[in-house]
Amino acid sequence: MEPKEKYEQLIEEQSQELKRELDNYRAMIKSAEILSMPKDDIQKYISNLLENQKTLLLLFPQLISNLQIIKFFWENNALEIEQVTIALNNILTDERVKDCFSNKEKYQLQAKKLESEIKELDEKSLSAKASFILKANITDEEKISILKELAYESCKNATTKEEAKLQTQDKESKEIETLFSEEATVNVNEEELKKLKEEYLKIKDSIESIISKYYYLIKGKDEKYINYNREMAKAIKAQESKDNLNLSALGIDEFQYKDISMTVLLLDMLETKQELELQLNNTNTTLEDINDYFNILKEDYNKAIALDSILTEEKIEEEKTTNEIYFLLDESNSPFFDMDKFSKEEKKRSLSLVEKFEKGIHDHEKGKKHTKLQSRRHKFDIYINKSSNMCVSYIRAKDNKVLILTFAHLNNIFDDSNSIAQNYTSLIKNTLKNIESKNALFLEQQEEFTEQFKTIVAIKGDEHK
Amino acid sequence: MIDEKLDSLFLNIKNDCMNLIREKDVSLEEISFALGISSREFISNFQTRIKDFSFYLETYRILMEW
Repeated sequence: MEPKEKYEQLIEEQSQELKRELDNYRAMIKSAEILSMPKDDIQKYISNLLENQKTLLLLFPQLISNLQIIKFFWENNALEIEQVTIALNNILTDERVKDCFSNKEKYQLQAKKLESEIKELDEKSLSAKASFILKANITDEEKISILKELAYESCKNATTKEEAKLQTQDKESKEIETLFSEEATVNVNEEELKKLKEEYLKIKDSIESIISKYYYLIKGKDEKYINYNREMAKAIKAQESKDNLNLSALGIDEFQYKDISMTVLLLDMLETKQELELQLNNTNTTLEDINDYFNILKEDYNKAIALDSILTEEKIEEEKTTNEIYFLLDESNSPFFDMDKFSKEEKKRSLSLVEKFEKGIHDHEKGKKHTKLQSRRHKFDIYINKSSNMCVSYIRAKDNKVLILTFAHLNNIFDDSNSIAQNYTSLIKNTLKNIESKNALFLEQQEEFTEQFKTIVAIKGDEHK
Repeated sequence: MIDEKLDSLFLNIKNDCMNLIREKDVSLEEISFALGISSREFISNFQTRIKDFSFYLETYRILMEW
């Protein structure tokens, strides 16, 4: 490359570098201005904050959860809720945000300095060029050659100057029934009707038995809640009777929350059963109608039986207790968490979560301190227990044993656990096999790691006391 | 027709959930945890209707009993 070309390239690179630096300072200044605006009109303040959230997140990605909370309540006209104040306070007291506030003047000075440097470079003033060449990382021969050429050009075009205008780009961010309508034809065949009644009587007890088993799901519940579930049942039926190619809602058996599947099904069964019994005793009815109701009831009953086995299995799982704990370790026997990243308090909480397992307390019914991870992305049943903001995710192995996947903060536990379950499916399967077969080498590695884990957590936890 | 019905059902449940969150001052992190999902997923599910309506019904049920 000719010295002049090399120089042009260097100067362009330098200019780009300075512009990137300037953009960063400008974003810092803008963020500080947005966040320090008066809060008398909170609507205006939040609106401005959300309009500029992309700028803020580029600099402070750690603010995403709090910004999402604010955005959620903003969209739902509930800015008065205390969580908005807490989220806003979390943003304003964030260490990096506080640094940004206190350094605003420094950033302004830096930005001015950079603007001037960029202007000089873009205008390619002789002094800026010469100064840049002298500092550039090129050989002395190249420097002399370029300077000579510059001197010549300068003499030749002494009166011409290029003016480069700075263009700032403001990037704006803006995210984020009718059933059974067939005409009745009065045509009841007595024999057929008798046969249907007998058939119904045969399964009536079983239907009533399953209804009674899960009646607690609707007993004493809020009327609105019951109505929503009824509406859901109707919507699903309406959907199933239309074109199945473009389903707007999932069917009951595809619901992730199985108790809800059973609730919707139960309400549907109660209604259909009542209607069927009315039709069976109605002399003006048609066999077609009776058959329709009966078929729907049988279909619902079969779904309820399938759901019952899932829910019963979950209940049995909930009743298990254990004192055997294993950790998911990768090929190099390292866990999927780094205890050193946690504070002493968090280590203490991790230890207490493990100790709870050792005492055989699982508490993994869904609740405020324990939950079951909902995901369609993997086939493992993953449970999460929580102590303050510290969480542990685990899989229940056979014979009441626990396989710990990872420890993480509440904000990360769902993503971290999902990611492990998705990306390390074979490892999890093999580990579960090793637990079941009591593989000697595996048990030895586990014992070694457990000791190591407890030493790190216990000692550092004690220091906190 | 079905979409309209589901949209209206979604909006009604969403409003009721919002009122319960407001009245009971339920933390988004806590309700998400009880549902077994991250708060990011919770927020996103309420921004755009998802196909699995059991999520909304379960949210409403938990909030009622909170």
